[in-house]
Amino acid sequence: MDELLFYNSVGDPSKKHSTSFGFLSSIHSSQQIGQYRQCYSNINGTALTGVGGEHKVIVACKGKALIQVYLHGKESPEQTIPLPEEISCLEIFPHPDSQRSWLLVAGAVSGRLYVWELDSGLLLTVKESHYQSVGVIKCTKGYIVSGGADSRIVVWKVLDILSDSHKPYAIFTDHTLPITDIAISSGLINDIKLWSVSTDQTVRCYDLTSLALVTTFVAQHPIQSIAADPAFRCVYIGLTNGTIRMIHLFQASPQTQIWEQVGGFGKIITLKDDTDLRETFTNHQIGENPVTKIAVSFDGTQIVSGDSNGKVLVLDVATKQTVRTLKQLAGPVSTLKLFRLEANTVSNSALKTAVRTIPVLKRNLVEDSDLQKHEVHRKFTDFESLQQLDLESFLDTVKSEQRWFHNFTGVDSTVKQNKENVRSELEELKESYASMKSKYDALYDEHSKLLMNSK
Amino acid sequence: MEGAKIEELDFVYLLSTLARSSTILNASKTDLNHLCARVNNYLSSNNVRYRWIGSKLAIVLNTHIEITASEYTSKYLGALIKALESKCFIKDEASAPVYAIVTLESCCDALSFIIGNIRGKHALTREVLTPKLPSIIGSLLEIIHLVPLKAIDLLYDLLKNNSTTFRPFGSKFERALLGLLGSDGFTKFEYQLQHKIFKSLALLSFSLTKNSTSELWRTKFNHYVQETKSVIQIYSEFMSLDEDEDLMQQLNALPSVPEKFEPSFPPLDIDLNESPLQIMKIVSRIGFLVNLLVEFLQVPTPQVKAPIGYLLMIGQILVGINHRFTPIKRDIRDVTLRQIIAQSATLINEVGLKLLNALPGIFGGDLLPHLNSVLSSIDTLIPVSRVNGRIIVDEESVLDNPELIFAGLKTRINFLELVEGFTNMSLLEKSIDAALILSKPRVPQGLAKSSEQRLKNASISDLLSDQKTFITEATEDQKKLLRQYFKVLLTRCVVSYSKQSEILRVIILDAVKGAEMKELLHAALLFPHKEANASVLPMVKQLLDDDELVSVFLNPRLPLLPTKRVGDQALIEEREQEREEEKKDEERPVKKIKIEETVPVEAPAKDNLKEDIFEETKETLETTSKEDVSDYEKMIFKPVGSLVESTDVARASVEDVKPVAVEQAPSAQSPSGSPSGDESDFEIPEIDIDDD
Repeated sequence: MDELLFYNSVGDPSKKHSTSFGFLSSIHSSQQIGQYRQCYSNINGTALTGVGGEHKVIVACKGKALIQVYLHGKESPEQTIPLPEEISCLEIFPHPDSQRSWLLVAGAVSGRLYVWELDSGLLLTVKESHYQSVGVIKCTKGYIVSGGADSRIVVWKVLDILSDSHKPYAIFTDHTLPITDIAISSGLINDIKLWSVSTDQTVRCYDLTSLALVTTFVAQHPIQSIAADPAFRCVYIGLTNGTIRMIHLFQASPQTQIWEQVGGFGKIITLKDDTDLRETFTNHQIGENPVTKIAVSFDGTQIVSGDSNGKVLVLDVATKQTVRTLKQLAGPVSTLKLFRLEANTVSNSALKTAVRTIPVLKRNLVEDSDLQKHEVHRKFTDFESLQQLDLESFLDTVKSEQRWFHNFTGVDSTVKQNKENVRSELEELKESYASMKSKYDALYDEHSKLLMNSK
Repeated sequence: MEGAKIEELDFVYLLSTLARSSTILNASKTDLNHLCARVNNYLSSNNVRYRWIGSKLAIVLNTHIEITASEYTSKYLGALIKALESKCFIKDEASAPVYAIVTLESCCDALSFIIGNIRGKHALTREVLTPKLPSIIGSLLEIIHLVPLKAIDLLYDLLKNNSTTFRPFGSKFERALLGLLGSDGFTKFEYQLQHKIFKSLALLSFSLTKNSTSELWRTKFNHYVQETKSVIQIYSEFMSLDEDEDLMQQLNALPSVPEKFEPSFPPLDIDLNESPLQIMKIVSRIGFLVNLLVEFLQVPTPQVKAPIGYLLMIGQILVGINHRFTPIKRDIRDVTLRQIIAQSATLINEVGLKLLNALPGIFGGDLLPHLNSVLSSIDTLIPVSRVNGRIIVDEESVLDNPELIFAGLKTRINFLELVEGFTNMSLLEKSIDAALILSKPRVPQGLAKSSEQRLKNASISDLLSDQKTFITEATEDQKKLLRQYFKVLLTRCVVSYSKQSEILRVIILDAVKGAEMKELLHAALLFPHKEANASVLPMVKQLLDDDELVSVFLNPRLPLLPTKRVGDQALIEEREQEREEEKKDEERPVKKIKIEETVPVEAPAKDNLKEDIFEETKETLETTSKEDVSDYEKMIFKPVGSLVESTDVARASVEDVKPVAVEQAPSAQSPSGSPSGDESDFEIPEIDIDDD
């Protein structure tokens, strides 16, 4: 197994983005799988449909109303799609019960939320979601959540977005400064929790069923990013002073010595100074570069972090040491996305037969007549399993077929002949025939003689 | 193994011996040659039985790569082709003997197995398969009417993977398939064969072109859409379709049929005066075309533009043809004919549902913009009646045609499985009522209603004395479907409290009767209603006594073990102290002995368990396996192991003293790093605090 990290940055406009690269590389070895040229976006402004094969990297260019699409294995953009306005963040919503990408959700600088269907390019909806730029979008089972610079979090139900409902499912307004990042727990739909961080130095956890603010953590510095342990045992927050703080979500209570969940019931918890650095990663602290993105590895033992200087590090959670330093980017790191896959299954080059582009994203909102002619771009396949001889069932078929060649009745209907007898009989017949013929010939001669004589 | 001698052996035993790889590996070269040559002799024998034996031997031998790679594979292929070409000496094809058919099928199996084995291996394909392909295809086309299932299967496979070689045979294959179908005989085959025929027809129609396959796919698809439309339009001859505005609008939105439209299938010849049953021809043709359209979405294609909109519209139109909304024209007076038309409409509805049913699995979320319109059109199929100004589901009519209702439920399930938290319950309420009606056992209506006998019954007393035997219930499959529907309602929809209680009542009553309802009960447990005052937990616990999930509910736990956690600093100090002590004292520290006393017997086992889990984690993370990292990983992951143990956790939280000690034991010793004692199964790594 291997884990691949896609990372890119906000880029360096001073050099006309000639140094702005996006990379795809392993975090467990020094292998670099791919690089993408001029691949820069606002923070959270890049989305991937997956890694390898026909998967695409979709990048909303910073400062331009453009989306660039990269094919895996190709360095330069395969497709450039003009949009109505500059997009600040992107997220992909997968098909229900599937890994395939379904919706492309984009947050714009104006605060609007655009939702495209990736299979057809139809612009399904545009919602006036925020008063200022949308900073982050996250999707989970049936919900799309966006956080904006207007310090609001807006939650939409996907079904409402597809129908013409204008009312969001929920709006949370507890933060006082721009929302910088969001993490969502998955699971049963009534267990979903939402974690948001903001430059107002707080981490807030909401329950999406009861819509209650469950816990608030107060940090000592503005928070730039958040990532959660896969099992939600702790969360990691990236602060503007360049440190990453680990917040345990379960702790032993000092009185009873029994583990219990931290927070709940709207508690406000102030994170104490961690002078011993037991819950703090200081690896980015030199130069006090804010930690702009964090991602947690598959097993939860490593985190990947990127800072505003373009530095990307793989850190070990237990020792807080740097395990690996990845190739540095130009400008603040804007995306860190981890993908786990079987080792050595992703090649460096593009598939020859790959579909190279995505359907062009429409700029006009979908209408009823468009839906009547709704067309999706698809490559159909029929699933076939690899051929393997199952000996047992094969032998069973052999047995069942064998019965057609056997006679089980006990009645033998074949005619048996004794060859010797036949031969002697034949001889006899031949003999008698010869004698008969000779007699006949003699008789005939006699007859003809008599006939001649009578004449 | 020579000639008839093979009959003296147990053939199955011979096959299983030959299938063992050691048999082939240990055989000498001459023996192998001999064996292969014998098999070839059997295959090319004139005796049908020997051919059959040969085909089976060829399959088994080709499981070994040594033989597949030898020159015999090509010989086997040649012999098999000849066997097929000779049609096993069947003289009268109308009544072929079974053993000959079995042999032909077996030869097809052997061919397909060998081809499958060769495929993907470039040199073998080039040397062996490609030169033989045309004759293979030719011979298969010869026997397609004798062994259709196997032959079409193999031909489809070849068409899919070797379309270039297949090109010259395309039209012949198509003719053979259409010949099999006959002019109206699509219903005469079993589902599996129908499916294969349609699949091959669909793939044939576009895959043999050299370029712009995707455009041809679209053209052909559109053609069949138009053809379907033209057949549906026949219904406007005897039903006033224009009374349903939505239906007309949808029909008009489909691509218009050009005047000089040439249908792919022979035009229908229907004379209602001759026999009203001829209407069924239309139903069968629509079913045929719809199946074909669905197959277009299930064969391998290049990237194409699939018109979901049209497909959904066809489905909705077919579902919408209903004599209640689009009445039968008045000039048709014959009662039988009117009834048959109404009956054919329900059959058409079923075809429509079948089409709609197939789409969610293929298109997934792309269908959701159409969800409401699809659900509302399926909703029209539920018969309703007006009682005191209220519209309620008509129980009698529901029971009269349960198949249609069940098909509707199935379609709803497939669509609702795409959503989370569906709230527009007005689209589902009628179907919930219908489902609840169908889930009840019932006494046959005729008997229940009146004792008046319409036919001369032998004894009506049975009804009075053995009433139980007259009660009919939904079949097992139908019950399964109902349960699935209830599950979808509970998990994916926000059902009103009263409806949810009704559903829960049915579920629990069924479960009490002993039905297998685990999934549904889980759903009831996991998705309680917001307004619910009482929990179903006690009942579910009683019904599923040994269930793991219920156990987790009764013994809730956190992702970590409830262990006593000494403040880290204190721990570090303690450890350092211990280390010093250890240096001084070579013997086990006193503390250790104490701990051993408190350690219960299960402790090592538990540790083993953890160890196992760690082993697994380690294996899956081969790439990450850096010695020091994985050691720490163990420490970090320690709590996760606890998830496996169920009862310990609860016990620990109540009587916290002992288990705490257990947990503490290894961690307290760990800094000593001594690889000793019973606990050494569980390695706790050393932490170098000094580094920090």
